[in-house]
Amino acid sequence: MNAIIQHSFSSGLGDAIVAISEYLHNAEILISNGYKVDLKINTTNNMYYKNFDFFDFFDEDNFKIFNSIEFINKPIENINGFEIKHISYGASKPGLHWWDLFLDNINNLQIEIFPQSGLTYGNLPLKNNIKLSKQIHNMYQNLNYSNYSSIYLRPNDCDDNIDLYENKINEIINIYNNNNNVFICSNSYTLKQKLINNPKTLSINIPMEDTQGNHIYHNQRISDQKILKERAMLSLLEILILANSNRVYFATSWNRISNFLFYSTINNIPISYI
Amino acid sequence: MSNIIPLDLWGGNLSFNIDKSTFILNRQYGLFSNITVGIFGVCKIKSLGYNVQNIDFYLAEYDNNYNFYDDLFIKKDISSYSNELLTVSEAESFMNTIHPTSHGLSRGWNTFHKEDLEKVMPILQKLYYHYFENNNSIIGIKDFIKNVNHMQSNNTAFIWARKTDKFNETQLPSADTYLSEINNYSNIQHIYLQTDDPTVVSDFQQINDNRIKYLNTIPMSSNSSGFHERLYTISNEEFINKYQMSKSQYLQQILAMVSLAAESEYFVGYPGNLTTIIPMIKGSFNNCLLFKDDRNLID
Repeated sequence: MNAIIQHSFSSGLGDAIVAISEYLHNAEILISNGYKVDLKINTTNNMYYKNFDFFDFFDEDNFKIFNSIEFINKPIENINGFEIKHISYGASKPGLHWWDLFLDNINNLQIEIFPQSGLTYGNLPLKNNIKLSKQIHNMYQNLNYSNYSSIYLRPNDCDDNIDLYENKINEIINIYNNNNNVFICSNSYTLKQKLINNPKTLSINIPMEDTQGNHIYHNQRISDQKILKERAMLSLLEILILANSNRVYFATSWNRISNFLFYSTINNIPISYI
Repeated sequence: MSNIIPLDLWGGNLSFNIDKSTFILNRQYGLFSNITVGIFGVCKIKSLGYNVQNIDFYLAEYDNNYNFYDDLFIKKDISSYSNELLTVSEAESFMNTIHPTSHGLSRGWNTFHKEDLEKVMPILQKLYYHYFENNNSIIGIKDFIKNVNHMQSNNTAFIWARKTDKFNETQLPSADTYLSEINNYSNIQHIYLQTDDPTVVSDFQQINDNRIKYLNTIPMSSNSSGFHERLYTISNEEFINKYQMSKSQYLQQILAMVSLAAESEYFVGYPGNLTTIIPMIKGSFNNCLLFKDDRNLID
């Protein structure tokens, strides 16, 4: 029996980590049920940069379970002799988002889709925990951060929402009073600037963040492939910094789960809502 | 004899596949309109002598050809307890008492008698929680919204307000009217506001009551139509690009908000299908204010 997983790398890095975790988990289930599993990584709609080395981002060891790995630049919508078992993101055709599963032998095998439950992800019994690449880990070691907590402020996409800072100022002051070092992470550059000069603040400078933001549609705004890669690596570094905090303090004005915190939750980092 | 029974229930293409014990519900209108029609349809099919094992839940207003059921609800097996779930006499009693209207399950299009709903409430609840119980994704979203907004249940009121297309159906309460009703209860410390209508948000902002927290969970309508209307005209891919969520995720957010609304001590809503759904989840009409033509339907 054969299975083909298509990973469509088309939204944020947090989404990518959730999607990879979900399909690695299900690949283990498929393999234990006798399937040979091939992985196609579809970078058609990748918003970071083209022709990247996937394993600069993620630990290659995670992917040794696959029979083969192929990078493709055109989404697969159907495969001769295979049927579609799963399409992520509801009413979509394959190749749009997250991952799809094609099987040459559809049966009653139950795949396990993670609930969109955000910060309860840590309760999931993952069969194969995704790890970031050794390069990202080396970058983290070089920072020499220790004994710190993190504040992660998540405004809407493309929204430099200063109100989120103003509304949470008392909670932020309290966090600074109770921690020696505080890592600040936000998709709002303006929010980060409010705290950047505090001596307790730890933060990462992402190239062109001041003018181009640091979240989505990077490749529509920045053409320099080297800068795009550096921005993606530094964003992954932020994910790893959060996932090594004593605690993450989290606020959002968006009422949407942020998968940027998924790596923290699967590493059992406590998260407090402020 | 055909193994497909066509059903004529408030528009759309509805049928029951006898071989697959599957109720195929494919009609336009909003999510909760389809849930109330779905519950009525289960009763109709039972009255014809069949049990519904599966529901194919096509929401034609949202997408032309997608069965949303698994994205929203928990699929449960009926085979071991079909008669405990619903008897023929219960189904007939349900259908003889209420039917879908523009303000939920009621006796008539312009009348509402809470005693009707109370009479069939046990049947309604059994069917709702069998066929339309929120799946784990929605429970997780609900928990997330609750946590991130530090929402409480006691001493809280939840306002679910709309204008948009509802103007065609009834006179709608103003922000002042909503709040004056809430102010009859002296213990309200937090007021949560849910709407898909930006004019509602601005109306409440002008009142400047610091107990009000607008919950920014679903996209806003950009015109006088309900946000959900004619969503089938854009693909799921376009929807994701525009709103950073899929159509299924949008519906999950709505269902999570309904759960949160039902958890608040007081609920104040516009006349619509939530008139049925919220009291049913709360298990009582107590502390529910449901306006129609500027009067509370529950009185």
